[in-house]
Amino acid sequence: MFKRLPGMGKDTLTVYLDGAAVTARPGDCAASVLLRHAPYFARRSPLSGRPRAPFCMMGVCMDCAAVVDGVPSTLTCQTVVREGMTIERQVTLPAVDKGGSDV
Amino acid sequence: MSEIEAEVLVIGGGLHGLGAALHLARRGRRVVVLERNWVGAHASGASAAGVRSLWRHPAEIALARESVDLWHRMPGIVGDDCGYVAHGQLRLADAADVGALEDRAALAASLGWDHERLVGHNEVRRLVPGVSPRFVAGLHVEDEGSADPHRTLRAFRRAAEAAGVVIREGVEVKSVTRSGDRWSLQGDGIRATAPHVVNAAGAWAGRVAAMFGEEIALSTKASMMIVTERVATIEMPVIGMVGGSLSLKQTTQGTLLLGGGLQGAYDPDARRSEVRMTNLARGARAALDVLPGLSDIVITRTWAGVEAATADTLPVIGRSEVASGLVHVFGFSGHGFALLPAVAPVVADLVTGTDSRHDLSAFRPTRLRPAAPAGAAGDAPSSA
Amino acid sequence: MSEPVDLAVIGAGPAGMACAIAARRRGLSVTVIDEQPAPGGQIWRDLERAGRFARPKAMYSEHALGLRTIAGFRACGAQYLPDSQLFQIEPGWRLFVRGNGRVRVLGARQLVIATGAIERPVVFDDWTLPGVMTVGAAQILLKRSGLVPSSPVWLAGYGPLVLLYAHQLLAAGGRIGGVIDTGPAATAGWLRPLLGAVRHAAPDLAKGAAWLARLKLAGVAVFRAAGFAAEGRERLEAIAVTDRAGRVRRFPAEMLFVHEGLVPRTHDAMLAGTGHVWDTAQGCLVADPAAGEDLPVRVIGDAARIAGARAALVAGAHAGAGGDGPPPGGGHARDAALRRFLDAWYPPRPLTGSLPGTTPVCRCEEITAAAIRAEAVAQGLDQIKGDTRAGMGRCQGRQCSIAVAQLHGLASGRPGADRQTYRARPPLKPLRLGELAALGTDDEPR
Repeated sequence: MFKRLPGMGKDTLTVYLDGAAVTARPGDCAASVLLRHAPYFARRSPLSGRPRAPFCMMGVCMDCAAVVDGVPSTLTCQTVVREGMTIERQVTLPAVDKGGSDV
Repeated sequence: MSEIEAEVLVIGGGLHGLGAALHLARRGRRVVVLERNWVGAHASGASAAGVRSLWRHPAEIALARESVDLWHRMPGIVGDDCGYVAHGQLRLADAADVGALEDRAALAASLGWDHERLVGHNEVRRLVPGVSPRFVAGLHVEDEGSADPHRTLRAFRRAAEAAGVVIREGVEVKSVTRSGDRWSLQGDGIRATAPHVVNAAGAWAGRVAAMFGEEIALSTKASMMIVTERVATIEMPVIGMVGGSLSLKQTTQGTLLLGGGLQGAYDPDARRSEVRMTNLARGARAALDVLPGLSDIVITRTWAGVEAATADTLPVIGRSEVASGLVHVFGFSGHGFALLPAVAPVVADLVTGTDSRHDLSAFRPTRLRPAAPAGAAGDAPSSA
Repeated sequence: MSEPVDLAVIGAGPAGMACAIAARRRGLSVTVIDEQPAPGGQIWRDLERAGRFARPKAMYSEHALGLRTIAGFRACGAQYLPDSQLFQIEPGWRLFVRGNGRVRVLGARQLVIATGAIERPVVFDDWTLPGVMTVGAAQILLKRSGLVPSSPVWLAGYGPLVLLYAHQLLAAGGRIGGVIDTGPAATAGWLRPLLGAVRHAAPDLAKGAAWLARLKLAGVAVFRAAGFAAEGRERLEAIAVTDRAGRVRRFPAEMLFVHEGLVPRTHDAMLAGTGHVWDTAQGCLVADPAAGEDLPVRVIGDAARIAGARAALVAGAHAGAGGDGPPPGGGHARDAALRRFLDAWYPPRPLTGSLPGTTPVCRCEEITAAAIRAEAVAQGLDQIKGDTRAGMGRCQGRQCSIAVAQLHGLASGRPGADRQTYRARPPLKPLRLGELAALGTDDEPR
C-alpha cells in the first residue's frame, strides 16, 4: 500500500508482524508497519468481525489497536517501533484469565 | 397552560415510576407520568442492573426473592427478557472474613431463607475461573444475576404506553396545590390533576414530598462505575466481596462492569455527579484482587450516578400519612433495580387501596421524618 | 501528590509552547503535559527528528519558526512531560496523567488547555473500510516516515489541507486517481473576506493558488460531487461518486483520503467545565469567549477555535503573560484575515438526509444512520447514547458526535438539536485497569 521515499536516513530495525520479521525505520509508528503489509488492517471488530485499519493516526479514532509485545488493545499509531517489537493483528477478544503484564 | 386530567399522576420516569404506571394502567386506571428530563435519565439509566437478593437487608429479602422469580418471567410481563441472565451472584471472602459469611448464612437460615449457599475454596475456583487464591469461601445464590438497564427501560416504557400510560418528558413539577379531592401539579406549561399521585422522583423525591407538606430525610449518592472494552466470555456470577466495595460482572455486550458503591461527587446545582478518580482506583484494586488477569484490560468509560439514599439504606414504599392520595416509592440507595417487578404491583396496591401481602413496615415514610427518634432508623446491618 | 505548580499547560503545540515560554518569563512554575513524544503539536509533529532530513523538513509548514519555537520551549525551564496522556481533570486542579509506565496526579493552580484540533469527521458509507483514512493521517505518514501510497490515491472533501497534501504527494512522486470535491458553495459575502485576505495574507493565498495550479497541471480529474461512497468487502475496492444530477460513476480505488476541515478538540476543555457555544461560521462548538472567570482555566489556540499556528502562538504568549480574554488587536492580523476568508470560502458542509441508512455513524459500536434517525423524539445526544449505544465506544464519541447531532437535528426538527454533543466523561484517553489501580492512596482527595 505504501512505499518509502529516499532521503529518510539509513538506520533500520526489525520488528515481527504476526510472527514474520519485517523492516522498519526509527521513528516509525507500529501503525505504519501494519499499513505496509497485507492484509493492511490492525484488528477485527468484536461486533461484526469486519477489519479495521489505522484511520486518523492521531490517537482519536481507536481503530489502530493491536497486540503489541503481547499486550492487547495497544494504539499502534501512538507506539513508536523498537528493535524486536512484536505486533499482532488483534482478531480475538482479550482474555482475562491469565496474569497481567507490567504496566 | 396545557391541562391534563388523570386518575394517577406519577412523578418520575425512572423504572419504579414506569413499573407503577404499568400496573395501574393494566388495572384500568388513567395514568400520566411526568418526567423532568427523559425516561431513565438518572439512576435507572446508570444502573449496574444487578438482580440480587444475596446479602440483602432482612427487610428486603422477601421482595427480592419474589422479584427474582418475576425476572425469570419478564417476557410474559413486558414482552421482553430485558437482557436478564441468571449466572448467579457470589460474595467472596478471604480467610479473615469467613466468619462474616457464616454469620450471614446463619441469619438467613434463622429467617427461613435457604437460597444463600455457603461455598468453599474449590467451588469458588470453579465458579470464577482465574480467581485469586486469596478468596477461600463465598456465599452463592444460583438463580439470579443481572439484566440490561436500557433494555429494561425500553421494555417497561413500551409496555406502559401500550397499556395506555401517557408519558410527558421535559416536565418538571414545580408546585403542588390541592383542589377539592384532587392534587394539582404545575410546571413547564402543564397543569395536571388527579386524586392519586405516586412520588417516584428518585434523588429528588424528598423535594417532591416537601411540596406535599411532608418531610422525609433523604441524601444523595454518587456511586461510580467503570465499563471496560469487550473481553473474552467469562462464565461467572456477579461478584461481590465481603468488606470491599466491588460489584463485578460481564454484560451481555461482553464488556466488564465494575461498581460497588464507591462515591464520586454530587453537584446539586448541576444536578449531576462527577467521578473522583482516586476513589475509583479502589474499585480497580478490588477487581484486580479478585481477578489479577484484568490488569491489561482497557477502561472505556466511567461515570458517577445520582441516586437517593436513606439513612438505613432501605427504600421508602408506602402511603403518605400527611398527604391523602400520595404514595411514595423511592430511596433504594443504589440497589433498587432488582426489586422492580415485585415492588411495582405493591405500589399499585397502595394506590388502589388493596392490601399488600408484603409487610411494608420497614419501608414506611414516617421513619425518616427528621424529628424521628434514633431507633426508627432500624437496627439491621446495612447492605452494600 | 507533589507540590502544585502555578500553571499546567495541556498540549505542546504552538499555543502550549508559547504559553509556557511566556509564563516562565513571568517566573511561574509551569508543567506541560504532552501526549506526543516530542514538542510540536500536530503541525510540527516530530519536527525535531524528521527535520534532520531535508525532504521531510520541506514538507512542514513554517519549519524554521517551528524549530525556533521548539528550541525556545525546551530552554524555558518548564517541566515537560512527553508521552503523557491526561485522562481526568478534577477541581483543584488535580490532573491525572498516564504514561511511561506510571500514573500520577499533578496539582496546578491554573490550567491552560491547548489541545489543538482534530479533523472534522467525514461520515459516509463505508468509511470504516481499510484503505480509507483522513488526509491528516496520510500527511503524518508522509512527513514522519516518508511513506507514499504505492497506488493512485483518491482524495475526497475540500479545504486547504486537501490541496496541500495533493501538492506534497505529487512532489513526492505519488499519483492521484481523482479528487472528489464536496465543498458547498462559498458563503454569500465571500468577497470582502477575500479582499481582506489579499491585503493581509497574500502569501498564504498565493501558496494555495500554487497548490491548486499544480493539481490542474498534473491533469488530475476533479469531480464536483453531491455524494460518494466507499465500496469493498475486506478493504476499499471502488468509489461510487454521485454528481449533482444524481448520476453515479464507479472507479476502482485502493486508497481514499478524506478531509473537510478542522474542528477544536473540545473533550479536555469540556471535562474541565468550560462553556462552549456554537460558531456558525465554522459550524462547530468553540470555547465560549464570553465565559466568566469562575474557573481558573483558559482554552487557547485551535482548541478554542480554529485559527491556525501563528494565531496560536500569539494566543499562547498572551495567556502565558497573564492576559485576560483574547489577545489585543484580535491576534495575528494575517491569520485572522486568512481565517475569515477560509471560513467563508470553505464553509462547513452539513449532513443531509441523503446519507444512506446503512452508513455506520458510530464507528466504535457500529451504529447506523438509520438507528440514529429512529431516535427522532430523543431529548439529546446522551439519551440517544443510552438508547442506541452510539458514543459508548472507545473513542468516546469524538468521531460520531457531530454526525449524530446533525442526523438527530434533521430527524427531530428541533432547533439547536444539531448543535449538541455528548457529556464529556473520564477517562479522556484509554486507561488500563492496572494503571488505575496503581493510583496511590497518598493522593487522597482533600
